[in-house]
Amino acid sequence: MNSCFRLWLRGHLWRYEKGRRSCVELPANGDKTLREILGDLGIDGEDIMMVLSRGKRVDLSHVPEAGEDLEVLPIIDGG
Amino acid sequence: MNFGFWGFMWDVDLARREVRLLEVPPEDARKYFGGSGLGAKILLEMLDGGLGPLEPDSPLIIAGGLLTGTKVPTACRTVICGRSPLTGIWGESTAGGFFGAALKSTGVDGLLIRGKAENPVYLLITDGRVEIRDASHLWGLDTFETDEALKRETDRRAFVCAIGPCGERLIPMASVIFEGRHARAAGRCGFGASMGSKNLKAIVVRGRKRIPIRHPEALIASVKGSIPSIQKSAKSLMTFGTPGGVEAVEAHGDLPIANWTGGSWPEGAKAISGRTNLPKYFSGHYACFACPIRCGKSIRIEGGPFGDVLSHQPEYETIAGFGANLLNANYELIAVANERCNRYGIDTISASSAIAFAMECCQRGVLRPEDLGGVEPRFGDPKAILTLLHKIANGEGIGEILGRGTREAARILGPLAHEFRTDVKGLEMAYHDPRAFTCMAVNYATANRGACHLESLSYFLGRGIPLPDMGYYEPPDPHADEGKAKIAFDLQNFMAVFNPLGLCKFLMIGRVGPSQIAKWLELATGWEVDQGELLQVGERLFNLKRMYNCRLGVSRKDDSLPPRFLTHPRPDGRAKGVLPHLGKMLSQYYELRGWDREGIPTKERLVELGLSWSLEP
Repeated sequence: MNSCFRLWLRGHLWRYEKGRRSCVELPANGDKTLREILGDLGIDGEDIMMVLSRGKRVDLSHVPEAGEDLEVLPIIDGG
Repeated sequence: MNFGFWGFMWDVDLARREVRLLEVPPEDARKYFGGSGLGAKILLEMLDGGLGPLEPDSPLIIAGGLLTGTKVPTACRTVICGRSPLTGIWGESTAGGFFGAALKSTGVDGLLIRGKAENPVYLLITDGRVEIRDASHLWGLDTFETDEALKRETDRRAFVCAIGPCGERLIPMASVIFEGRHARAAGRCGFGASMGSKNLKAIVVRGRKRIPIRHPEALIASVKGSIPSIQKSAKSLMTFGTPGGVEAVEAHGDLPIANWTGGSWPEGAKAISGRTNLPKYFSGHYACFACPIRCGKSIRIEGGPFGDVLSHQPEYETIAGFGANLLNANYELIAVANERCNRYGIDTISASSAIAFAMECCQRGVLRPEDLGGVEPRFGDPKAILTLLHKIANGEGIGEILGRGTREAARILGPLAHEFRTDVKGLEMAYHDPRAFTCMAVNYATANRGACHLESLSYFLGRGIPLPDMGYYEPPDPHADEGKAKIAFDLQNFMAVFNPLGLCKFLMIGRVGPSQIAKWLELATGWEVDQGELLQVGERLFNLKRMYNCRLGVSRKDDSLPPRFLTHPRPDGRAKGVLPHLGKMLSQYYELRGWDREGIPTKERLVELGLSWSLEP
């Protein structure tokens, strides 16, 4: 069984991630919220419009589970 | 005494070479504000449906907003309004920069221009004075050259708005460019052709008067207090300008791709994004008058494959239009197309839409390469993009038809071409997809100047920008239909005060709501104004412009979207499979507006809004 979860960083969010990846796979330890995980990756919660898990919205206090695919969408503040 | 505005406009008759001062009653300023609000009132009173937009007597207003030139953040906008040569109905187009503040510092709020000069002329407006000067030597120059020549000939510190060759040729999508190379564009609606039809090449302003403010110290204190939060909220806009959002727009399924037929294009979006390109080509920041956001960026491209560029960076709309919508991932090409559009004086949205339309017409056999003078316009082909742009700007061959806009081009090219049109009421869609944010469907369908995103900016809510003053805290479901008519209604009423006040709509990105704007208006003018009154003026002005259009035959039959936005879902990406149910939303919207089933404002609602006079022919 997969003990990791995946974060898909949409739009320009990959640019903030330290390794400049658009998909990040991390172990699901159950000890950190999305806000903390994204913060560790260099992504500020204020840059995020929403996070989707299986098409449904979750908030930044969500703790990712093993096998979960999370899509992170940025706020758009240009154009 | 008036505060915040002067209460006077110049009434300029170019045919008779007469100039007189037109007084604006203070009660009109309170009821309609200035800019396109007061403009709509004056122009509706003057409206003669039998008078085409390019006929000499068709009036044109160029004005600052009520607060333009004051210290209120972003109070810089200049508006041009009249009957649009592109759409034939109400038109307004605004530009930032310094021109509006400079115009108001001459002691007037704006200009009403009518008649056609016998020969090309320009207007020189200084403190309390208007000169109609010969412009024969400028005719044929592009907008950057005209700006330079006029500053040399008048005053290096003057500000200039000018038309280029497209306006002179009366091309219906011609723009008016402010401040030359800085290229602040009043792009939409074709007012470059309106100026061209009057033989009016340019307007030069240089003033030294200070606009009186009712509570100057309190206004400055309030403005200073707001700047840190505006800058914090708009930090991406400050850093990258509007193109910083390209990849995020793509991720939301909002970016137009291949004349709106595509669904996702992440690698292309990355290639054309301001975040990729600005660091390579950045040459300086540019801030409009009184703006703490400073979203303008200058770029320098030397030795590029399509030529050099030393100008303003292409804005988001231009990048979307000449990039994604043409499947062109080459930023240098977009920058060159942008500079050429600005020099020619042509709207980048309508021009790029017309090119995308031609490409799809060719792909589907409606046009053949021989119809295009041997060009085979394939999506993504740089040579075809620049060749078609050249043809449109010069009115050559197929370019003459495309320059009339996609509605008129489809009428000429035949029934199948209507499938590829991307206009509402003759104005090409701004580059935000109503299938990605369905609130935009009802907005585009009802916006007074046609498919304009700025008349509601309701997609900002869908993108995660809140508006707590109006009860919007969380982003609504972007794809659902429920509640979207109300969002369009609310946001249109709010946005309807920006051009009349002379403010930039990016204040919303800075999280400035109507209560803050009402406060600044109160401090500047001394009027007791609250959010309720501000939004009521917005509703009044939206209805006033609707009445202008109704007089020209607009009704529910015109409140629709181009076919593909109602029938062809995006094939992939985040907005995959979504189609807005416009009919349902439109009925809800009419009810909120107090319009009848055909989309005509009811007498009762017009009376409530103080607009009963607009019913009289």
